[in-house]
Amino acid sequence: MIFRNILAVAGAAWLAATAALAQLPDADGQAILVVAGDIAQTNAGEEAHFDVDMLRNLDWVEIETYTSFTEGPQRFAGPTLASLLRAVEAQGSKMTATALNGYFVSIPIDHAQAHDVILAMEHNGERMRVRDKGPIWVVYPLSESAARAKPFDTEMIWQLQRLEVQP
Amino acid sequence: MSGLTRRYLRIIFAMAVLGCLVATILVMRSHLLREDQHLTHSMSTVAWKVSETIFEAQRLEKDLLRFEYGEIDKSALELSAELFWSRIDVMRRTEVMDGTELYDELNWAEAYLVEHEGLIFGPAEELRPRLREMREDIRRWRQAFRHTWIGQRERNRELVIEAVAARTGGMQAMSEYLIAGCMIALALYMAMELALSHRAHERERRLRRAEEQANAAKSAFLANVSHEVRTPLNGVLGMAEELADSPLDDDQKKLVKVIRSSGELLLATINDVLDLSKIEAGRIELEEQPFDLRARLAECRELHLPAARARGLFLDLHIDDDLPEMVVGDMLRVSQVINNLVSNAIKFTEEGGVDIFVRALARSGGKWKLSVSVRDTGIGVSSNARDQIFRPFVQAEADTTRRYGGTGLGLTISRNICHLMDGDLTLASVPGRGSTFTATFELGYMSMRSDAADVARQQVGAAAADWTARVPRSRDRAAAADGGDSVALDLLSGTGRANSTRSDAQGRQADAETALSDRAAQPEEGQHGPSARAATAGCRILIVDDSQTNRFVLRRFLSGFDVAVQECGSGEEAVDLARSAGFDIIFMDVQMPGMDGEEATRRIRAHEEESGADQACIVAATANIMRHQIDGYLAAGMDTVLSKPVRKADFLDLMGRLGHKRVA
Repeated sequence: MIFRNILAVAGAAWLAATAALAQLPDADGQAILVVAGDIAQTNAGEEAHFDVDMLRNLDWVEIETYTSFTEGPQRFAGPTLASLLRAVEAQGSKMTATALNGYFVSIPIDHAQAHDVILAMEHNGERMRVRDKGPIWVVYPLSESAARAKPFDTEMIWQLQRLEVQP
Repeated sequence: MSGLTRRYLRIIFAMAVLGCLVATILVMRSHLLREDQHLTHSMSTVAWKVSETIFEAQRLEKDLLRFEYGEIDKSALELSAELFWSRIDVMRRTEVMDGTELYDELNWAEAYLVEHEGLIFGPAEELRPRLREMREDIRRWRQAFRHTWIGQRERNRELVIEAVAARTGGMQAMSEYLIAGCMIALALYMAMELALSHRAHERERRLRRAEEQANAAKSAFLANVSHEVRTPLNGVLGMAEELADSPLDDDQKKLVKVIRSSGELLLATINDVLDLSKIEAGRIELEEQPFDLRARLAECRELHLPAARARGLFLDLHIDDDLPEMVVGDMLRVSQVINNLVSNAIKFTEEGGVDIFVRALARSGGKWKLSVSVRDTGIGVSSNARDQIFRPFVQAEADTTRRYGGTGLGLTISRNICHLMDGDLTLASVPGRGSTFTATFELGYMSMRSDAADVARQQVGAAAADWTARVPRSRDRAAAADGGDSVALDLLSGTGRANSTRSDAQGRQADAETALSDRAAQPEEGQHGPSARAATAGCRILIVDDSQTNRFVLRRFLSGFDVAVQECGSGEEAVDLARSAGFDIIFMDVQMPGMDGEEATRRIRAHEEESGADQACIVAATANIMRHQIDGYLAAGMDTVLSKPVRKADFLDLMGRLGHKRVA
């Protein structure tokens, strides 16, 4: 009797302990980004669903940058891709990013750190609608001259919907 | 700035230009590559965007229908509309769209969406009645858009190219100018280098021609001096000899002795000076004939033995066992050097004596490296004089010349000869104790059957005693060169016409032996005196020489002979005389103005051939007795050589031989 109690308490304590480490909350609002694949943190079966608030709670940054799709300096705000990957504890080397219209591209995981990629959700202070390339545009911050060379045109996928992490 | 520095600078400049050219080409190439990629990318991007736009238009069309049939809900339709809208937006921003028909189509689509925004994103009830109409609008737009795109594809391509070119045009033009400039510069450089090298070539050719002319002038000068000096000397020495033979009282004998020894010294000096100029003008050719080195050394010792004994000195020869028997080289010059050293040693030694050490140092590459060390116990050479004595006309001390005589050229010439033979002449000396002069030189080696060599050696050795008596005069100069070898030359060439040469060492030794054994140690006349007269009795003799003195000398020498003598002073006269009357012996001077001795000989021989007359014996009387010169005389048709200045003994010898040949 006492042994079973001790076991129960120990079990609960262990659960609590593990839970205290980076626990991914559930998505309350509409999930605008789904992350699946080689990840350790999920909140919907094998997937991790993110709503706007969850994304806001990640490492939210504001940047001024140039892109090869725009003229002149642009302001973007959104969480860093690196923080998202940390939140889901992504364990692969690359990921397939899929857009709302079916377009997809493979992005190496290390780009997140190497190029300070952000998941832009606000453009020049405004929430990005689908017609504005929202809800999420994968933006690589670049200088004006670097942008002219169009280095990451294929990786800068807009209308991002899903990330599938692969080994 | 020297020519060489300028040249290097030019080369560096050319290299720099070349480097610039290569760099520019590489940059341009990478640029072009990138532009190419850009172009391709741009073109494919436009096509991609067009196809995506058409796709999204179709999707919107489809979703309008599906919404009408309730297959999808409004948010899905709204999403489709948004996607289509973003497509339109993105395409409108593409750089090449501005001004094209495609652009107009896109603008229409944008305007349409803006106009129907409220309808699409508003309440469903308001939208439903308009669905079909909207679907129709989108479809028509899509078809028009595609139609325009097809029609405009070519134009679009041009636009893309223009846009890309405009971006990079400036840089490309500059690169092209740079490349053209570099190439022109390089071409100019090459042309300049060619021109300069041509000029240098020309200059070199001119210099070489000038040098050749200078050398030719020098040779001519040397030949002239040789001739001009020897001719009067011939007179002096010849007549002094005649005088010595005539009856004189004791006092007169002394006077004649002085005349003769002065004449001899003068001759020796002139020979040395000419020798030196020849050496310094690089005109000395070393002969390459086989000779018996050991025999030569023995001869040399024998030559100097009387003088040594007269001063109460010993003269010992020490020859290494492994010294080769036969060697190939210039016997005269080697003898000259050794004789010079030995006579110096004897001359400068008051008591004690001279040792001659001959060693074979090494053998490599077909050459013997030999050393001859002459060690004396004489006055020695002080350290400051050590370098001086090898210089021309310098002896160790100022009064050395006065006390010991000599021309002061012997060592200079000897050292030069050693250098010519890839060796050297060095000195080790302790003043008051003695000196050791060491001559090293290289001689080629040849193998020979030992028995034949033995025979030759014995013969020559036996004759050496007689040999030495024949050449009492010249001490500082190789005995052979003056009296001895000219005799040997005579002998050799006397054994047969035209083809006889000194190539056969064995034959040569044999001939020397034959001649020497016939001769006893007689002073002036030689053994042939009386027999020479007898053998040549009744001969008709022609003396040809442009110098009256020389003719007189020969005539005098012939005074005791029972012969008919005629003279003439030029080659032309000689030919005429020989044609009209036959001669038994013709003494032909080689160097004459107008027709020279060789040419005259050729003419005479030709005449003899034609007319079938008996061949005269033609003797070349000349001071030039080098190998190739002798070959020349023989080739012209001469029988033998008599070297000037003419010595009575040589002359008598020759007469004897010629007479005997005639008889036989």
